[in-house]
Amino acid sequence: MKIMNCPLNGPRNISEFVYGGEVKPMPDMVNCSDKEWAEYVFYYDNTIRIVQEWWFHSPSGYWFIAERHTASDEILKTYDPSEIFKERVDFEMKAKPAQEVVS
Amino acid sequence: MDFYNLSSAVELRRSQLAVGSPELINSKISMHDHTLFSRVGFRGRGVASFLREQGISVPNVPNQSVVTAAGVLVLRLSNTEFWLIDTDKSQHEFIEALELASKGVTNVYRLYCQHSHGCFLVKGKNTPNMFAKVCGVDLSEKVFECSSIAQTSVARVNAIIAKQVILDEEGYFVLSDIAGSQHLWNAISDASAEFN
Amino acid sequence: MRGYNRLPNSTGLFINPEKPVNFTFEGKTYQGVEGDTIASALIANDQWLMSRSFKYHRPRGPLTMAGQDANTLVQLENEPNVLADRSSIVNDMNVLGQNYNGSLEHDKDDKLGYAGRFMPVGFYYRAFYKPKGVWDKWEPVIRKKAGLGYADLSFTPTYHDKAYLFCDLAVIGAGPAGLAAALKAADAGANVLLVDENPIIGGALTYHRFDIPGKKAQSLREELTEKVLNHANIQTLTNATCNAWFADNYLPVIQGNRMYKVRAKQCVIASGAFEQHVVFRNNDVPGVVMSSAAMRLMSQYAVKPGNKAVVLTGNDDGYYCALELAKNGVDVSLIIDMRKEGASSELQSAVASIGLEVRLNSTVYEALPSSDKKHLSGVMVHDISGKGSVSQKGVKVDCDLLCMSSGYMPVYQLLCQAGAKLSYNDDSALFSLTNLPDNCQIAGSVNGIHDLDAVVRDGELAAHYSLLSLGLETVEPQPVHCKVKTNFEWPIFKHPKGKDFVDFDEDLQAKDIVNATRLGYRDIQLVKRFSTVGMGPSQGRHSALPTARLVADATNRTVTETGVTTARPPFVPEKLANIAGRIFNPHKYTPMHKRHLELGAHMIPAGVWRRPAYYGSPAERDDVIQRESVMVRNAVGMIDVSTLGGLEVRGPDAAEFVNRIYTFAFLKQPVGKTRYAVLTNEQGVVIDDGVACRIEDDHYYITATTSGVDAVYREMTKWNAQWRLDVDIANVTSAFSAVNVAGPLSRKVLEKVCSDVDLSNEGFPYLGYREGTIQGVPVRLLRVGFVGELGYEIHMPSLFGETLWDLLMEAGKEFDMKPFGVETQRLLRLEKGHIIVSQDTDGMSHPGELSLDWAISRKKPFFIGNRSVDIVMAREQTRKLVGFKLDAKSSRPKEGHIVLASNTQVDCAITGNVTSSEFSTTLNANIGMAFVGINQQEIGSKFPIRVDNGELVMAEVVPLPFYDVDNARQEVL
Repeated sequence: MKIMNCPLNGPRNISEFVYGGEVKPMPDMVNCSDKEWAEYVFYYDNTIRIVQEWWFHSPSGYWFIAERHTASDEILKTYDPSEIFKERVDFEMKAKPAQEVVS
Repeated sequence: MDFYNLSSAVELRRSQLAVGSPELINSKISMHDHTLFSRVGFRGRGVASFLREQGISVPNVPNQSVVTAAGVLVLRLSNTEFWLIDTDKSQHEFIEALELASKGVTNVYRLYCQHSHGCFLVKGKNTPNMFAKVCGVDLSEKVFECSSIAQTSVARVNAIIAKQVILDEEGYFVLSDIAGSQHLWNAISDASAEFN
Repeated sequence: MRGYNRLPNSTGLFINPEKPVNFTFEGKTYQGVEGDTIASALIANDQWLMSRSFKYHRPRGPLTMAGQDANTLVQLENEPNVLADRSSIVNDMNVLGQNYNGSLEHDKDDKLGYAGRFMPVGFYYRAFYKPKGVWDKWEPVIRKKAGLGYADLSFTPTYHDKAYLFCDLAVIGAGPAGLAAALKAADAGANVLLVDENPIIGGALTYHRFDIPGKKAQSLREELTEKVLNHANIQTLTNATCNAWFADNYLPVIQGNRMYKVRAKQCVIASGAFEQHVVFRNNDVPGVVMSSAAMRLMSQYAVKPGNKAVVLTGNDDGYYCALELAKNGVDVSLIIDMRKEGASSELQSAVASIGLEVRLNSTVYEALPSSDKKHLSGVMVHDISGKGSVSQKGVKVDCDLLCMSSGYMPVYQLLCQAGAKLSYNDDSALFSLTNLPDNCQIAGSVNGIHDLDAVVRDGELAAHYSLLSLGLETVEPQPVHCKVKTNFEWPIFKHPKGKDFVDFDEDLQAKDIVNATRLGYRDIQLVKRFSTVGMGPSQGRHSALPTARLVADATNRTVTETGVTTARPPFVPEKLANIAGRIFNPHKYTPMHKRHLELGAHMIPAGVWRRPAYYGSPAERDDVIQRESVMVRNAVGMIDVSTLGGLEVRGPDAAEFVNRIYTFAFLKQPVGKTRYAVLTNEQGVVIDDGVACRIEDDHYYITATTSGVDAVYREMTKWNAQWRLDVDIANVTSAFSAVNVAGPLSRKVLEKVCSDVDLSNEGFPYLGYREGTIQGVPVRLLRVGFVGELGYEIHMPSLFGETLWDLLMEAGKEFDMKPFGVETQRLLRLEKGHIIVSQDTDGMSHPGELSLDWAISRKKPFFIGNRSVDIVMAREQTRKLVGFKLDAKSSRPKEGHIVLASNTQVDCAITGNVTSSEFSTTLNANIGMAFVGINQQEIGSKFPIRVDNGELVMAEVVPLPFYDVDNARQEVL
């Protein structure tokens, strides 16, 4: 069984963790096109590279970010999400664009 | 709304554990149900200083514990989360007072560990070997030092294992979802049987 | 000494000659000694025949004496397919042969061999599939012929378990390389685990001869064993098999009834090498063995393997075997060396000095069985005239033992699982392993090192690299070179009459492999699947190398290009009990669990929880549910809803946070009120729902579905790891237990126990939230309408759950209040048209399909599924969840039954499915909810449901709720 290093709890069996998807920036929800939104929600690159992923250490309820190589499956580093998400995020009400035609 | 006191009605608490011989598994490993002993937890950026203001020393880093002179075990589970556990059923008033004192303190959120978690104390020389049968973290003497905490999976349920010396005797406190207590009690009893 | 083939002047490392053990084989009683395997004890008694081969039922005896072949599979009373050369005898053990028709000695199926030419490779695939259906007829016959042992279905379960074992370094294999590695690492301070499958450590040192005087192995074994067993830093597991290599050195090691889950920081694999056989006609006759097997019999069991021996070799090890045989009183008639040049001059003179004859550039072309076919009686020796070809004329040499040494195959299985690459060196005729991961080292003969001094140094070198990775101090040893050549390039001598076996397990001959390539199967993986080579119990331990050579030769490729088939775990057959032993199945009980059992509840799983379905016997399910539902509708009932998820959100941003997570508007929700909360994911699909209670401006208590709460909690905390709002989020599911007291009389029950809350309709209206106490216990009260009657959810800290249950049951007595179960609750809420997320929804259900538009706020900048909900709801809709009704006498649809577009058109589309269905006494009708096509949703219209046995019923679409359309009962009482 694979071992992952939790930034809070140290190296643990991978079965203690829950995968939380890739770290992806959300597009501007109000102004992006349907296609851009669908790209964000549904599509993944699935190429050989280093990905940033969300992982959750279940026994301690702790989310962190892991950088993993998709071919070798090697986990290169793990760190607290505050290293990426430093600022409070707010959403603002904006006028919606005209409804797009759905083909 | 009125402050909702989790420490109240101590005499009406009941453990749901159906334990045959509650205090002893065998001559080499003993397990005690401490679920009804008082405890309280806090989380938030202000907790460490709140506890210090209350005269309680806290561990400097996560996943470490200390014991107060009065026998209260202080667990630090993350940078901002602390649990305090009465180890000999004598500190209920202290715990209750602490819970009440936290009311309205900024960045101090009371946790519900009194009621969300069951608590066992496991003792005996073979305890690390027993844990190796139910837990994937190395708890052996050399590796898992006294005062260490492991937040991990025991018999496939999430649990907190804290090793500490209480009254000159080393023991492992196991805290886990109260609804799964019976499962965990049975699994540890089963794993302990061979060490008789 | 027991058994008349015991050696007088050898002790046998594995046995205790003082302790006789009696057992039976095929009904006949034999005596062996403690430490004997079944096979060694039988050979000591001159019983070589132990099994019949899989396909042709040929007589077979031990080949390796190390559990590496299928020739010794026997049946114990309660266990089939036991390796006789690995399994120790115990007193009164009854052993039988397997795979015969009649008896092992007289197998009526042994004539199948004569039909061999009519059963070519791929025979089953080619012969039994035409005409269509014929396989069904043949299958039982073939399966009967092909079956091995039998399983005892009346067995008594035995205790098996697992345990983690943690170490700095795991050394797999306690031969000279493994011992040296363990010692060096342990001396440097590493905590070492040493694993070996044999009863004592030493590996080849326990049987092999490494020098002419025959002293080296013993002295080195004694020296290393002494040090290892007394080293404080080394833990040794013997009779233990490392059965796989998994990521990050996770090594399952099976020892008896326990599977150790070894967690090693570093790993040295010193798994050794399998000695390889020579392919010639009748190379499977009992008495034809690996040289190492003969050596094991002598050194480990003090058994004399034969009286008159011939050694067939392609390396120097055959000469050592001959010396060992001679030393133990076996008459060695001839050493046949396949090489032109022969052995080293020292060895040549050593064998010459004791009068042994050597014949170079020759081979055995055919083994000659005795008249009863059950043992070797002689061999035909021919000169080698070219690669795989021999001279016309041969000479016959009488013998009852033939020892083969054609070279070695590294025990590559674990290493390949670790990611090593195999490549073949044409000069050494040997596979080698490269590209290992950083946490895994290789040492000894598996690394192609065979000179004993070099093997020891190779072990130390592997330990050195492990120590470097562990950060421990180490001095680099000298690099290791080994010039000993062990493998003869082409030990394959096809015979026109066949029975020149490549794979003993599957009775595959050299021509079978070649023919598979001629039929177009060039890839080694396809050759394996077509011919079944390497698929038997020995998993290619001896067939992989000759197969690779034959396929490479037949397809004009190199052996590296051909390669070998993948060696997946497990390394040796693994009992299911080892995997199943002590599996943990966590389950959760509510604090009232004991009470439910006392009240005769029928408990059912609800996720990891156990919940009362209803209170009564399953035989009376329908009646009990209807009775319980009538009680709630007309009086009062109580249900344990402790399994409901609970989440707390506190802090200055609590309302802002809840407003972002759920679809409704929460910023202006008043304190003391609850609000329905729907959660959509980023795809716009409804994934959970609950009730959000605003306790304070900065404090929410939110319920969630039993099965969904953990995921909701994860979602919440993950979002806030990005948003960084000033809130604390806690999962309080287990901290609170809860009951729902429901029915027209519920207020009266609650009034009896709770005096500090104004329970009047004005003081505590529908959808209100209050806090109070019951006998000093703090409780949270939610006025809810899930089952459609006046009702209160009472949430209390879990340690009080049982106490309050008892109090409420007592208070309800005068109103005849009884508990009701979750199935009754499902009926009651169905009558009210309330959906259960994940029962009435699926992975595509957006709020529009569920008519939840009212629960979505359009006036806020964000909620999780916001944009996707907009997109999917703007599209042309395809289905809708509706309520339906059927006459009480109609067949009742079941959940999952399909909704069709038409009741007349046979091949019409499926437009939906039934999600909930039950009979309602209150309505005297079958009612339910179903997804229907978008044009089937009109109230009053009918749509077809296909129920059991293909029957079509026409259900009428009715408005929801079915019961109490104005919600008068829950709201205004």
